Amino acid sequence: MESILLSKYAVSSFTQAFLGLLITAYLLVSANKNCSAWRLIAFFAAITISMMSSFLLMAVQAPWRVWFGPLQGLVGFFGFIAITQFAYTFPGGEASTRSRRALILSLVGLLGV
Amino acid sequence: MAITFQSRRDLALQGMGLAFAVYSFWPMVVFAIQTRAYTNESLEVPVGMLDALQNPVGREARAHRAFALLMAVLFALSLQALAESLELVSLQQLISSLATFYILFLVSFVFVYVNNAPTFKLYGKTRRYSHRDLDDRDGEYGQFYSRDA
Repeated sequence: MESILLSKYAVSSFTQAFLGLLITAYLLVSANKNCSAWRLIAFFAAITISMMSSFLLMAVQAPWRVWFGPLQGLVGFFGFIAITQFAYTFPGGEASTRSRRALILSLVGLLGV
Repeated sequence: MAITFQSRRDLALQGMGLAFAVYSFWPMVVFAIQTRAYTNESLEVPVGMLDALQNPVGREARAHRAFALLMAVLFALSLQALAESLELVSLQQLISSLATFYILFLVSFVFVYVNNAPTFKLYGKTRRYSHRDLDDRDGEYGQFYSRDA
């Protein structure tokens, strides 16, 4: 019995996960990390984990693979929260009152979802 | 009407698709508002949102417009995922769009960030010389890095 099935969907997810991993590593070693840089790194890390979950969901042929579906969605939401925070802080290096309010609102929205 | 497992799963997927669309629309709007704010700051004259997005003035305004456009790509992909959960487009079309435009989004976002981040250092490290090093290299660098300077 095959335990891993590399369909075109799985390969596509793996490509995106690998690219996300490269970008995250590049930002980690290259950037002088201020507040907005860390949020961007969190966004790309979330994308990497989300796409890796998508790859495992589609490629692994085991009963527990269904857990990667909710994990992909949850991590994706955290990525969107990180990019929203990045939008509020870039190019400055400090979190403002507006960004803190947006963080609370987006976390409440995440709990609602 | 009884809600079966399949319909509950469909509802969950549609809810997630809608939430993803909202969460990608939000930063796009923030980037657009920031574009106008930085353009206003550069021109010292209030301009409309469309004017600012068409003709952003200043490096920060241009960067924010680029981020807003890239978030529009992500928003369009979220809408397509929502349409797929409503069975308006096929899974094949969604996967093809994701494979193309998601990679384009990732790479473009990094390029825009690297070109516009104020403290980004592309490569190399700042070399720190001790006074002893500078004394040893007096002939080469002494005129620039004098201890008395």
